Amino acid sequence: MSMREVKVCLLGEAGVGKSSIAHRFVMDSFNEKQESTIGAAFMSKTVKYNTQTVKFQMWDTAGQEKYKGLAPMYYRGASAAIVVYDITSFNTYNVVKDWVRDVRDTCDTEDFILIIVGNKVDVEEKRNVPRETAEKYCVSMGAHLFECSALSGKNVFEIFEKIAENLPSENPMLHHKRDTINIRPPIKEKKKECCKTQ
Amino acid sequence: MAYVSSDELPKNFDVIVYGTGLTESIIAAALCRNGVSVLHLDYNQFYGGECASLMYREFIEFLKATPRTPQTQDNNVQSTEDQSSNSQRYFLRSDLSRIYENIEQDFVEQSSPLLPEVTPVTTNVTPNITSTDCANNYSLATDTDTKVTSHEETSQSIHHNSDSTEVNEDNLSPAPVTTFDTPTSTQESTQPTQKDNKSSLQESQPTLQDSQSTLQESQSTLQESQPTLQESQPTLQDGQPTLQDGQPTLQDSQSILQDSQSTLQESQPTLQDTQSTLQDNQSTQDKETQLLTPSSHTKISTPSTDPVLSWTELKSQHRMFTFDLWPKLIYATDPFVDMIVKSSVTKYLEFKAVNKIITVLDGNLTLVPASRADVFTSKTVSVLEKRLLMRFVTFVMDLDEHTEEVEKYNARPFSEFMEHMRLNAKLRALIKSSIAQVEDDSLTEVALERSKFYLQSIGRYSNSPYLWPVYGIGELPQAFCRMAAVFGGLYMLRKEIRYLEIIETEGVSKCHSVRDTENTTFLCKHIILGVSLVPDPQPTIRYSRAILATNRKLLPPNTSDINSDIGFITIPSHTLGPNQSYTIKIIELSPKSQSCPDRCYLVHITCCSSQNTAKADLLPVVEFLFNNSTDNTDIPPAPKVLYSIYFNYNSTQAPTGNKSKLADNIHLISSPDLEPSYQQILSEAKGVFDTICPGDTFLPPPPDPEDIIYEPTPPEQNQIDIVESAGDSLQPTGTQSDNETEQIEK
Ligand SMILES: Cc1cc2nc3c(=O)[nH]c(=O)nc-3n(C[C@H](O)[C@H](O)[C@H](O)COP(=O)(O)OP(=O)(O)OC[C@H]3O[C@@H](n4cnc5c(N)ncnc54)[C@H](O)[C@@H]3O)c2cc1C
Ligand SMILES: Nc1nc2c(ncn2[C@@H]2O[C@H](COP(=O)(O)OP(=O)(O)OP(=O)(O)O)[C@@H](O)[C@H]2O)c(=O)[nH]1
Ligand SMILES: [Mg+2]
Repeated sequence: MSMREVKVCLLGEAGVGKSSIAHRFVMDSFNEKQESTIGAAFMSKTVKYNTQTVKFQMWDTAGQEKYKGLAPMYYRGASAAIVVYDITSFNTYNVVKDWVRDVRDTCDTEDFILIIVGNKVDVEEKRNVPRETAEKYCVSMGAHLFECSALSGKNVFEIFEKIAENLPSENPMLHHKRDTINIRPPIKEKKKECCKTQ
Repeated sequence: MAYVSSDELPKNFDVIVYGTGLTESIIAAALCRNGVSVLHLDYNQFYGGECASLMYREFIEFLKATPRTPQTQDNNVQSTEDQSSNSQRYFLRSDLSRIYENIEQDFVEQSSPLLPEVTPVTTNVTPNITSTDCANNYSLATDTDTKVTSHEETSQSIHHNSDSTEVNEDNLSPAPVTTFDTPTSTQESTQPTQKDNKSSLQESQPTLQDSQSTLQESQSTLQESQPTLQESQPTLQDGQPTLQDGQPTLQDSQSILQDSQSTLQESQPTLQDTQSTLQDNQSTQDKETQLLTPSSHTKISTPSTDPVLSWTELKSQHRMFTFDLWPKLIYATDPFVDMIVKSSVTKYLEFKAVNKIITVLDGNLTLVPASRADVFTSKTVSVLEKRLLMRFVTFVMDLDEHTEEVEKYNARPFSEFMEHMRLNAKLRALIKSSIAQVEDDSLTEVALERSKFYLQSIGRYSNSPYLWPVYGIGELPQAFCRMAAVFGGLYMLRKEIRYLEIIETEGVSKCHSVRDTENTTFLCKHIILGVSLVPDPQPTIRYSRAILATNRKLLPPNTSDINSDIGFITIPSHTLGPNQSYTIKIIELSPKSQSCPDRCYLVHITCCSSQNTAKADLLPVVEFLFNNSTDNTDIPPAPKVLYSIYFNYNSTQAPTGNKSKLADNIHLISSPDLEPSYQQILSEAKGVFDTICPGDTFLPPPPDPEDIIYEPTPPEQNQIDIVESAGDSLQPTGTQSDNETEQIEK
């Protein structure tokens, strides 16, 4: 069975629930008191999808636009980006476009999977971003739209299922990676799974 | 839960690092790793400073950047009036024009190879084009139409005027910081037309610019207007078949330029040239309107039969170009490599081997045998030479055993030592330029040291002595910044420090805070910044740089295509005449380096500067290596230059000890140099770290976040099965969480 490693970037305004979504997916739990992410957080989770095993490497980042300090490296080699907004705050939806532009600037390949996620649907009564608005935008950008709740867990797994489903049959990056030189110490090498070493 | 807003942003740090160049970023990572609180700022909107790898648009904008902070102060150190007299303000200087100079850019368009090559049309324009300039170029078009040829070249010069003290924020008014060069001949010939058109054009100028920015965003508008263009095409095809091929090229180059707003305007003359040719029956006014319509930027879909790639075809892929400001190969055995391996920074990096090394011997490009096996199979050297070369190699590898023999040569020129080794002229040239990478007069000590580096590096990771990071050198500072961020470093780009506040207590001066351009004050115990940012004069090394996009690999004659992703070519001094005072070093990146799109090569040329401009230094080598196609089929066709940019880079050296005269907690970092090793960078980084954290370990191996395995929870989904979950929640509070993680690890 093939094992694939997939890098996914989580993007979006601070407080939209990026870390919560990642937690829900990785640990299937929700933390009311989720702290604002400071520095970098990094999580991984391996899942089976049909005949494939997919290891998601999730790159989470604190999202305040003001000190935007994200480096292109953050996006390097990513197969997918999940740009999150909070359906109760129109402002967080507005900045989605900035993130999408950033992503498109750095990862402009055909196979790149762009997913836009409206989080916090459990507080439907406070909704400020109509689904149709987001839908229209996503269609125009060739992105997939999900509305989910990290709190209830609704639709969170579906996001990653979508990514697994849309992965290109052969990772074009592998082609390049094969020729690169591994300068990491050999001890480290032993621990890595097959896909990592390429 | 509280989010940190701008007001709540922490204002008190142990260390502020200003600038994200490689040395600064290494220091930031080492400090954060050690639990020191770090605010890392950069006035650019990208990482890397003078070591950055930039996308085309960023690159152009960066090079063009005019002085940002007006140097209003006569004296950069000012005493503050309102405060006690023991406080001083030390104003920084973020004036790029003294770092990058003499920028000259050429777009070389080529069409069908069937067409003869004609003298290119050259127009020099400034980035801040004024309405008058536009009129000049516009009228110029009508006169130069016959020059629209298969080989078209638009050249731009960006001149920084260092005397200028004002920042001009209005692009529409004449630019005080730039000068405008029009080739005088053309200017004269177009005088009458120019007068006629000037006034109307001047009026329409703002509209022109407005509509252009709209163009850049709206692609649909572009497509709508395509018919206009296609209409004009039949005329072209009937009348001037030659032009047909040239036309799309020109139009395309237009769209490349679109991405860089000011460059867009520069290229207008070319466009207008073509247009006047196309529609000579159109009135001037019509042509002007045409210029304003999006159609002029639309690609005409002429099928290209040219198998050779042109810049035209590349323009749609310009985002895939990464321009390195500071292309420097890494020796596989450089202590710098050991450091990135040990500190685990390598997990953010990927490297490629430099698997083609070339030098010039007897006027010909020659492959340099890299490995021992290479030496034996090499056709470059004779059997006798092989023996001599191997003897030299073995000698250098065991240099420690030959200290006595070497000692008397150490302070003498390397050439004398090579004679002592009975190396012939060919081997001396080979060793000097490729293995030792030294100049004619370099000392034996330096040359042997470098040769040793080179030879020991072969076989460390591959058959090549050099490494190159995938995506460019700019990945290195980013990797360290990332490491710093993981350990709690706070990052802000596009943040400019105006001055440092220095307070004197009991005769000791300390920088106690910095003030940014938004008047926020950040307190610090130490400040680390690039020496090029401080106003005091410092010694600089001046380099000439060129970056080219080409369509083929450089190959020595009689060499079949070698499977090389990255090439390193040295052109020994004086190879190209008496004016070439220094060795020229060339790095050729293939698409596999991720620095350029498929079927294209990105070439970095570097040498110490001896002429007035980078172009003067480097044009001979470009002419020598490129564009000189011959009919001789034995010789692989020379690559063609599709794009080129030349500039001078001034690398400023920090004072010894990296301390500022003003206060000993201001740490000054040298600009990166282009000498062949990373040792200076590493020793400066380590030195500054040791001053701030005496006795602490510099970048120890970090815990591996993947070793923290969380208990997997049962899956909710039927289709997705959870196999394993892992995560890291490395909190920035350095040491404590490290210990935790390390415990888990064991
Ligand atoms: C080269 C580089 C690579 C990075 N890669 C990753 C990555 O792969 N994954 C990842 O999750 N993060 C990564 N980061 C972390 C990154 O610094 C921040 O998470 C990111 O800059 C936050 O961007 P922002 O401006 O959108 O959020 P911010 O608005 O800056 O974040 C919200 C708040 O959190 C605080 N904060 C933000 N960033 C930091 C920080 N670095 N340290 C301490 N406090 C901070 C600020 O006080 C801020 O107000 C990387 C940083 C760098 C420099
Ligand atoms: N009601 C509700 N609250 C949520 C949901 N997801 C996250 N939250 C809350 O929103 C807040 C922010 O969540 P985080 O996961 O920290 O958001 P983030 O995008 O990672 O924020 P930064 O790390 O600061 O960028 C927390 O208080 C969460 O408890 C959700 O689906 N529903
Ligand atoms: Mg978070």
